[in-house]
Amino acid sequence: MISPGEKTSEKTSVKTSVEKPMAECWQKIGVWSKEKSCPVLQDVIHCRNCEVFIQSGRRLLDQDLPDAYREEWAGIMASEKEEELFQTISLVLFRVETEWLALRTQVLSEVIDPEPLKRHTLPHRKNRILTGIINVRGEIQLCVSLKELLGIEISEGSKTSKAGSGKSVDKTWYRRMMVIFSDDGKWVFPVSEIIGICRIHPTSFQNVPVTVAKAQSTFTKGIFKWEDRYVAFLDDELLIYSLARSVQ
Amino acid sequence: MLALLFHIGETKYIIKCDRIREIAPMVALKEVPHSPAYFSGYFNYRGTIVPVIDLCRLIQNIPCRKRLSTRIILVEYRRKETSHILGLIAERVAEAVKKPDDAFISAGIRSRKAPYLGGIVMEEDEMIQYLELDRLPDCIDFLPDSETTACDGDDPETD
Repeated sequence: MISPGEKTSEKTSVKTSVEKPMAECWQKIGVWSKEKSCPVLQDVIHCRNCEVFIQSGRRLLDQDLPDAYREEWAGIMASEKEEELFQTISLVLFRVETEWLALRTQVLSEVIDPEPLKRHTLPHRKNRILTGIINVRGEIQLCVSLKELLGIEISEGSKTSKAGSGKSVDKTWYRRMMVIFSDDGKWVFPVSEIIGICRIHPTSFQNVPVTVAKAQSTFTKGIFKWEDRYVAFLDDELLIYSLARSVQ
Repeated sequence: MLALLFHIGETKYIIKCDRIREIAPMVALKEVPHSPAYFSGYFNYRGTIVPVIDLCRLIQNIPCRKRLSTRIILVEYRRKETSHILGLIAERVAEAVKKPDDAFISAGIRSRKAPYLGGIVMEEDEMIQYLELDRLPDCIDFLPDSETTACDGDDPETD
């Protein structure tokens, strides 16, 4: 009455298998329907869609409740609920040399592996910010250097520590190319590492300390703490404007 | 409409989710002497004191088994323009299903002792009885300003 006829027949076939005592069938057969050893798997593709698997999962909850669990939850439920912060903004976190930076996710177009990309330098242009042109999915984009624009220097200390201890991870492994876009076009720049996208509440932004180098502080809207590091939140409008000016 | 499935003993029941505020794990409750057996005690729910009813006791007269899947369903009900919260203990509270509004079919009969037992919802070829949250508080005779209609009045422990 509720489900169409086809669906009911499929469900009943699943149901018959539920009644069969097939204890831990997925441990013997596997969870994917590669081999034709389970008739149900061919329909459901993966065990997580199968009624047998779901019911076994539910049975795990049919265990007795320890008293400590009740006491613990009584304490948790008695306290105020920690609501997730509203109106957080989405940022993409990345690193250029030693500096941790963040941009609004809205301006991020994509992240590419630098390996297959070939950068062509532009002849007769001596510009430290514009490093060349690059082929991204068949389109020629301008490749720029955030390091130069923001005036980030490779600190000597990190250089020696990298060379000195063999234990430290080869950081070149994490190198990526980030593509950002604006109304005027796309910009590609290399970064040393990308953490990913996280949500930050605007109240967690702090002002930029006055001691920060001038070039960097101009582009920085605020600084926030993420895990154990401080991240500079960059003003994307100003950044793109400056990039556009620097290539003229 | 989203509806919550749970068990009372071996029987499956269903309630509409629109009044459910939260589902809490089974917690330690403050027991109250001289109260009916189906009243499990008070629950400090985020600073407010909420009475908790054992649905297994109320419906089948066996206490709910204390298992990990036994949970407290916190529902809201209105009484004289004020909103109250009531906790309901049920077993195997582990699944929510989507049902169209017309899937809740009235059975056409209503027990005087248990008016909160509503009609039937079909789930595949299974018939599941739904609980009417609106009528449930009427059967619990110690809620704030209750207009008690006699049900479970023969409970020997009722004070």
